[in-house]
Amino acid sequence: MSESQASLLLRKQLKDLSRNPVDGFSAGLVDDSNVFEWNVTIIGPPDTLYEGGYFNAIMSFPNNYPNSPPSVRFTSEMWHPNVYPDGRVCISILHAPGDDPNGYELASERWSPVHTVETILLSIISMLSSPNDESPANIDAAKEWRETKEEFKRKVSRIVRRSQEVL
Amino acid sequence: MDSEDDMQDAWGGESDGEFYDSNEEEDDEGSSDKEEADYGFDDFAADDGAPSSRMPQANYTILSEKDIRQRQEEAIATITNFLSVSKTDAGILLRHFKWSVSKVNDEWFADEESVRRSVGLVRPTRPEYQRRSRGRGQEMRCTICFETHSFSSISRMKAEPACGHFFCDVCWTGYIHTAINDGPGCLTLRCADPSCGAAIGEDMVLSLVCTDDRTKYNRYLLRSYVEDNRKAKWCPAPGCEYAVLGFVPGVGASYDIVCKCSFNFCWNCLEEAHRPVDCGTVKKWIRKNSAESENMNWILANSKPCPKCKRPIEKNQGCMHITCTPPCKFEFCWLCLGAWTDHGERTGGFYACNRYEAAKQEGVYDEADRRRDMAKNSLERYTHYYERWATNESSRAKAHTDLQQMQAVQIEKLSDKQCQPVSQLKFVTEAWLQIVECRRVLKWTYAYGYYLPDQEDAKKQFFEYLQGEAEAGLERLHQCAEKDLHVFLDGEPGQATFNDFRTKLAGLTSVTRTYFENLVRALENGLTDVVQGPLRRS
Amino acid sequence: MGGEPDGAGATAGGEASVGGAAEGPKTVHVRCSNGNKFSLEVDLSITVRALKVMLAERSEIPADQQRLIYKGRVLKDDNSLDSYGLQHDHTVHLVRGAPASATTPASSATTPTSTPAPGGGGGLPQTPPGLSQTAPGSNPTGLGAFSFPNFGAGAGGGGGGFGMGLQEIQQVQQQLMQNPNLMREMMNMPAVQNLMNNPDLMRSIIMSNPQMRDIIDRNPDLAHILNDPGTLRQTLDAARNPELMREMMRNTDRAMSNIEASPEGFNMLRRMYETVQEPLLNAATMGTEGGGDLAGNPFAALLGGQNLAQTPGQQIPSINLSNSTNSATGTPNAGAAAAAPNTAPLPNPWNPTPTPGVTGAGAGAAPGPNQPGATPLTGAGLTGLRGSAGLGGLAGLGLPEFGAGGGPFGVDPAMMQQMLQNPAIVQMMQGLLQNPQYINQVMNMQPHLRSLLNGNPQFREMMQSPDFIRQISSPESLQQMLQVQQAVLSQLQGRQQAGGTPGQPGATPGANAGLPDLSSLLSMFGGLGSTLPTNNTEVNAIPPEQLYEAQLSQLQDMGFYDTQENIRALAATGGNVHAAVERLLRNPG
Repeated sequence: MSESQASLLLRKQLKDLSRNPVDGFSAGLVDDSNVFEWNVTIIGPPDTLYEGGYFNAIMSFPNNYPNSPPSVRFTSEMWHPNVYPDGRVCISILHAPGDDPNGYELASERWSPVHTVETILLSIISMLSSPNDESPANIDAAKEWRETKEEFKRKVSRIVRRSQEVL
Repeated sequence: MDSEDDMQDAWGGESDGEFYDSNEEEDDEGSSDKEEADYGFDDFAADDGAPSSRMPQANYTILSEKDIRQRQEEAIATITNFLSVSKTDAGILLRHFKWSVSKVNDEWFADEESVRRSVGLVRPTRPEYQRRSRGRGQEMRCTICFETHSFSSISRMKAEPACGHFFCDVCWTGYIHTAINDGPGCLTLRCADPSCGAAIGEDMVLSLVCTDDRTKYNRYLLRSYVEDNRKAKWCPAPGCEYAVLGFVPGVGASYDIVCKCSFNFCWNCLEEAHRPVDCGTVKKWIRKNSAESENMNWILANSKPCPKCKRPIEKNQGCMHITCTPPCKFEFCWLCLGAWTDHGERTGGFYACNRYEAAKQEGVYDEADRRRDMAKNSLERYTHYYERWATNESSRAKAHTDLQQMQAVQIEKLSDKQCQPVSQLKFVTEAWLQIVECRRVLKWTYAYGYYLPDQEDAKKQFFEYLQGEAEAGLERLHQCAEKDLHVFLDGEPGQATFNDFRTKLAGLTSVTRTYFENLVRALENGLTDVVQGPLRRS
Repeated sequence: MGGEPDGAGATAGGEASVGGAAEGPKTVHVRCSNGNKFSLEVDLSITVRALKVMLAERSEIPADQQRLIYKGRVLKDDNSLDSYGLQHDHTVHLVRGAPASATTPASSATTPTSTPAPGGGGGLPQTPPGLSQTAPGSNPTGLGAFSFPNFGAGAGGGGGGFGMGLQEIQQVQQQLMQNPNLMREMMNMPAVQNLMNNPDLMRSIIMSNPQMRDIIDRNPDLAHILNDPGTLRQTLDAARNPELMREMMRNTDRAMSNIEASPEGFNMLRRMYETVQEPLLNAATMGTEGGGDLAGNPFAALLGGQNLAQTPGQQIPSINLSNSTNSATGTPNAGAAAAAPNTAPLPNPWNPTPTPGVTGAGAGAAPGPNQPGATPLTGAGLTGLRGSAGLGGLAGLGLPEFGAGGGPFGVDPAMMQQMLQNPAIVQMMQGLLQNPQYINQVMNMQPHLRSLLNGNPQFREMMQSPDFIRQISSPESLQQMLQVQQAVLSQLQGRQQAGGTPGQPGATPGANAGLPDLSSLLSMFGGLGSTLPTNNTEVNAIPPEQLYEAQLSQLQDMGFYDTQENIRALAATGGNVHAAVERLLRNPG
């Protein structure tokens, strides 16, 4: 029951996004037969270091969505303190509350069934503009961001450039 | 206040006899309570009258599941009455404040709003209105699955969160189900709406989920009483369902608890009871063991060859006195493989084999060349202590088994054979209990000895002396209990012999007990009796 | 499911199927990155490129800079819309992308799209997106090619003694062009590399020229390019490697023709040309007025040259002058050749040009038609650029600056001062100067100097002694020399303008410029306390009337009417009026 609920919900969100897309990203399915794997392109938000870049990511939804969060993984090259070197995104709303009951007081920081593809991607976009170096996934990037920001900016510009070339 | 309540409970004695008077021999070990129900000795019940003299040592309660539930109910009822909140809310509050009724009261009356906010208790005002004002047939949209539901279907929900966020039951169920599967975090489940932190109470949970989940949830509720409560702990023995509540260290500052399952453990570190060494030492030792145990296991796993006939010997009894099988029948000490007759002054006293230095000087270790070759200095030393520790541990385990076997089978047998009433034979059991306990203490004294700083020679010597005395006594006792008893079990000696045996055994028991008390006391004092000075046998 | 206020899209399926089944144009919504939204009626079988073209007008983003994103994928130009599953009433995102070039910086907002003129090689690194497939590196290379010779020459000029006039510089350039080894050597000198790598320096050099500044102000992209050391390096690499340069040239040409071929392209070219060329022209004209300023303003030179040439071939270089900066509007200058597509064969980059100053090296400067009748400066300019504005000009600018006071008359003294104070430059010059071989080479290239040296071994020795060079290269002395030059130059110019050139046969201003410099240099030697004899003969060769015109007039005002005497006195005192007066008074008659 829950699986069909999940797929129904995902299809609905897909339709909505095709109709009324949101600025900042574009989402579609990797393969039309599998509604649980989404392929999204995130546009580097303006006024950030990532401005102008086009980053692809894959979102994998579990069968019991929306009760469990999806996992997001960047397929384009990404350099950000909260993105693991293999591309996995590590942000608080993608963690189910059961994982760490002491971690966060606010439920708003954790996964909730209310979240949709849109809210997730918007969170990711806001993560791009303001990295959180408290719990870094990519230690090198976090260190660089904290210590030698210039070098960080340069690296980011490089990946932004490269992402544009792929287009 | 809370502890007082518990204490009164303890004093009053629960109907199912949560704690019993300790046995006499256990008394000095510090663990004051131990159940002996299975023994069926009436005398024990009679001893209930004298717990007060031993209470100050430590006081705690052993709780079974039923007791836990009962206490929970009581606490909730109290809070409900005091604060005029629902039962569910009371439960939430108590869990938040660690099941301390007093704390709940204090905080609540200090600042109710902030408590409500932090806990997630929302005043159910508006939603009530909304619910009433909305007629039937109106539609609501669940923001999780984006389906619309008619209001009537929602109101059929058995419970709603007080915050008024409506989701369809399917979504709620799923949400709660996932949370329950994720673990005890489900007890602090909050409203699915990210901005709303309203707590989800058990009434709603229980009404929505399937049976399995309900069981799980209830289990979590129960466990929360122990886990959240700072004063309660589960008994660490595997398979033991009891919890210990309300431990207050007594005068003796011993942390040993005895559970109903007869498992002794230390309150602090939840390890096996380790008097006389302290928790820190125990931790270190255990860690060291696990690291080096590979080596040790290798060493110890190799059974030892008989010094005389070189046949591999596997120790199958707790006592160190090994007699090789016929035709060899050579008697030797397991630990040093030296002839048993030789054990005397050289190795630190008859029946004792604990002197490290002496043994070394004796060249006893020449026989254990391979051990010396393998080990470096520290490892040698460690080997020495660890070996004894492990051996004593196994002895103890064996003794424990023997004890149980004894209790189960042999007493009857013996009683039949000797035509004595079972009650007369309790000295045997006492002896075994003593052995078990002494083995434990002895084992930990080796750990103690390992961590004794090398420089303090005097202390070391004193320690080893005491240890030797104790060990000697224990060996004698153990041997007597093992060997001699078999004689009586199997053979057909007369009554007089049996009485002698009884006297001897009882005597040994008390002597050993004395030795061990001395030892423990001295060690616990940190061997402060010793003044660093010229070497002298005290 | 009716009655849902939010239209949860439950009916989407219905619509989609309807849309899919229907024939004819479908509505496609487009949502821009700046928030604009509009709709188009298109047939879903058209290609993405066609759609982009349609969108170019509505969205003001040129088709080549458009990026369409649908369902998380970027739509490629060659595919059709329905191959991506685009359906009726769906929305695609439109964002501005960088012109497809490997070297462009990431600022999507500002990078101009599809600018033609990949900066003809030397031009700014940005290549037009549409065309750039062929010329990814062409721009910088070309740029490098041009700037390099200028640099080289400048460096050579600088090293060789500051007295070199423009002519010498050009000659140096020629030499450099013809002797790639020398160029390479020079390139490899750390001093030069340091300089190249110093964006600040480059920027200051460029900015010091007001015309350039203007141009840059109008075309911020130029600034970007100029500020990018990577570009410079690429440029220089290209210069170092003639192969590269040739390749770049070719690419540029191809690109140019492509641009012209495409419907919008030519207009764009035109627009660009006007945007950039105009200021350049202005700069040029100012330059020509300044006379000696030409050296300092290769733009001027180039454009001056360009204006003379009217062939379409010329147009290209001139257009290439503009960087691939924005597309302003306007029609190409010099109506000639504007409208007609370029049918002339692309200029042969390696054509040696007849005129002395003009070298064909890498420049691919306009062939013959390049009227050098224009001053040799044109050549200089052209050599510098094959229509590459930006750095070419920069190079030209830099060049004279390098000359560190040599040559660049008309270069702002202030700027020179500034340059001199720039430790990087000083360092570089010192480095240059300390390489005796290099100095020799450079000097040999100067006919004047050569003759000078040949005639005077002592002088040569002097030039070669490191101490001397160090002295010379010290900032103070440089400044002094600069001042002297300024004085001389103004003198000269005054003379020229006044037309009062006392018939110096064959002495082109350049030559004159050269000689006075030399003389001033020599006089400076005297000032430095060198024991080497100053070459009075040389000094005397310079028409003293010209040299000391101002002083003479002063003396005459004071009452010393004997010109010859005055001249002698002035010569003896190195142009110092007071001393001359003393002398005159001391030696009556």
